[in-house]
Amino acid sequence: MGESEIICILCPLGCRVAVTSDSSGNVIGVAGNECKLGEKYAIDEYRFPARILTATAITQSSKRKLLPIRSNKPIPKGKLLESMYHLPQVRVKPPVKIGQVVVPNIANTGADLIAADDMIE
Amino acid sequence: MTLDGADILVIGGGPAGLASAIKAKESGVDNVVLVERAEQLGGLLHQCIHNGFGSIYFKEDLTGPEYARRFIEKVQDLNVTVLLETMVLRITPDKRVTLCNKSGLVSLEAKAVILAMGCRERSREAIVIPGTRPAGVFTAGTAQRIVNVEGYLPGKNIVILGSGDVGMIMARRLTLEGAKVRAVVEVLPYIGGLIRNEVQCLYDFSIPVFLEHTVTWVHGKQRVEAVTIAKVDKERQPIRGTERTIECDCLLISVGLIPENDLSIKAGVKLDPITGGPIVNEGLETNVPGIFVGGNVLHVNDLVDNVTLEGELAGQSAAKYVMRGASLAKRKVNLVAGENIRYIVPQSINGEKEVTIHLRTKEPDENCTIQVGDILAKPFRVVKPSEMIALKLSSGGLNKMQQGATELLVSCQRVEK
Repeated sequence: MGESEIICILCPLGCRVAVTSDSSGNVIGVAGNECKLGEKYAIDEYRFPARILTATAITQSSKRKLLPIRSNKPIPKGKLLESMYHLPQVRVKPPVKIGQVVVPNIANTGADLIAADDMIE
Repeated sequence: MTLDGADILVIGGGPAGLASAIKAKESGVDNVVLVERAEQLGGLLHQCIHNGFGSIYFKEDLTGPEYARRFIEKVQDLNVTVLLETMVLRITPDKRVTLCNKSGLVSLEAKAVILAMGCRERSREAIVIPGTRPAGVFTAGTAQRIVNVEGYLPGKNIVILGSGDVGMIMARRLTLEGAKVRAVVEVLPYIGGLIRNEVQCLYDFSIPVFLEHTVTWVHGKQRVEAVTIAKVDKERQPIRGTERTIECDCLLISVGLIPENDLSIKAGVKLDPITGGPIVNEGLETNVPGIFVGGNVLHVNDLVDNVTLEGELAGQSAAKYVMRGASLAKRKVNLVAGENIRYIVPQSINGEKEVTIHLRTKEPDENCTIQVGDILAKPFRVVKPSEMIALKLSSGGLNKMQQGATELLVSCQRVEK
């Protein structure tokens, strides 16, 4: 049994939605949302709070020091900082095309970090 | 540099300039010249490595560099003439443009000019924070460049003044890079940026937020050592006795953006004192015939998608102007900001065909109706100054306007239950 407050981010209203769950974590109640979309958002956010991670990787380019990178799918919120710890060792060698995998399966999340820009030289 | 002249000269290679150059070219104008002072196209999007771009325009969640790349490729495919590392020094009211780059000074004539210079940040000096002048005070956007492009941290213990989107995004970015964000300090009783940033940048990382507070002193001789913050009263004046000092080595200022209009003023373009950008008609043409404008130089937008759409409209209008050789100025109906409306862009419309207007409220409110003359009344569950509102005025509605009407009052009123 527990209650979590989720702030809905789907519109400027920012409803504070209370999600209640039973002892095994199943959602048994949702309250405080003004619309149906908010209910779905709150349940998803309660079950699997995950974010796209964006960061930079050090390059071996003579033209730019950093390459912007992103995860190709959301990473569990609790794994964001851990994912960052892997980056200081990474060196990206040009040429790189947008979307190319830079770090596969970052922090065992199943998500890859991919290039968010082209780097020619 | 040899350039005989331009049909359309676009100033600024950020999202607004890219979109307007593309649209101008696609509308059938051949000689489009895009001028950018940096060494690459894309503007500020290069340092905005976070996601959240393109949700409206592409229905996708992109990072800044990814969003920019799509337009840069299009500009290249369309063979727009691009001048990089080139600064526009002056535009005259008859559209003679003086450029400067490594090969020297060039003056050329343009049939139409599109202003797409974007905006700049308000600084510590603009809001006058007392104290010493140590190293370690940056605007949030400068810190963003230092972290995301140059690869340094601006400090290890950070206080951020202002809760606009750039400030919040830097709070998250610095936290992920190992710095400690000690406080986000906001003078208003509510967060200044978008709700998704409030949740995903501040609450996700448990960053302390001080609403109705401001920084009253910066301490430190060589380097920032601490800042003093205090609660403010209704007039936003610090309240004596509420001060507390937070140790830090860096203060970031994120207190708003100002459209960059020095060139526009010299060209004789009239500005709106509220938006800080040019006064425009529904084709985004300024008071100077043939000078058009779009993006954050017109008014500061919350989403790049809308910057792109404005750039496209400016590009389209400029193309029409060049192909016709004259302005489309017809009937003019001024949009007047009434109750709880801060500004409306465009400031005037033709009043004939369907048009989308953008506006911001002065204060947040709930359960209200936005009324445009007697042609439109749209209910809103909530309005916030930080979230721009778009309203479509249908031609059917506009036809209801009285013959010869020259004004439409726009207001936002609470609905009594």
